[in-house]
Amino acid sequence: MAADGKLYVMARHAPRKRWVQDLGRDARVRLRVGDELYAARAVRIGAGPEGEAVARAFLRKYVGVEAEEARPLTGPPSAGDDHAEVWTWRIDPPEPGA
Amino acid sequence: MRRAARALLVLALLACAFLAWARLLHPGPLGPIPGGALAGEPAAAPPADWSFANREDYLLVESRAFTLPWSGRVWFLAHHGRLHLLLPGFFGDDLKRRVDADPRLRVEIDGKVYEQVAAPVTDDAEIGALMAPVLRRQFAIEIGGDVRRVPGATRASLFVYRLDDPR
Repeated sequence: MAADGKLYVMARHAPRKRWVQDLGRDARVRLRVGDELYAARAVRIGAGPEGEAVARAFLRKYVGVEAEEARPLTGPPSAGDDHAEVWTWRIDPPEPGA
Repeated sequence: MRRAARALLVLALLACAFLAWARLLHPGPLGPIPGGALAGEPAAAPPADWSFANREDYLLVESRAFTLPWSGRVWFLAHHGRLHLLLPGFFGDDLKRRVDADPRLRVEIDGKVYEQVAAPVTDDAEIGALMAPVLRRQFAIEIGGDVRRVPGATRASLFVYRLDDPR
């Protein structure tokens, strides 16, 4: 999804996903939007204002609601907590020379 | 080359046969794959309080809105003792289409099947209260304060239905 003009991707149950493990080894990515292919770099983000803006954008796009407060839970759930582990990346331009 | 194409064709036919078997003959859904009629024992009466159901990740739901019975596993929440279905548009709208055509449903918990009827929840405050635990659990997002529907956001929404005893 896009928030504040930037592109973000999310993964539910992130540690289980193969592409997430690949991203941990090499952050260079290629994205296709429409007919265009873009080289980019995925930068993982955490909580804070940027994470909250992405959570709000997610709620608008995928749930169809606006919430006064929206806070992403980062990191693995503690014992007895069963929330999904969701990781988010900002898609930045590739590093020069990459 | 021809042998590879033939092997692919056989695999595709086997996959189609498996999906048809699950859809037509399997009692209830097969994991995330929709199935036919639920096979549990019909319950004499619904419980007065459904809160016990929250220990389950999914509710097994059957609709007979169209020609063939359809069943699937569905996100749900027991809230204030009543069952609520949460149907995310981005996972497909199979059940929403069916509920809108015919709100009568059957749900299965602990091998017992209950007759229910679904009604859409449209009140923003109620939707906020229902969505908060689901968004936390499924998407690791905590929401608070006022929650309201985005006007016109019908393409990819989380649709909420309350289930009631039809009698």
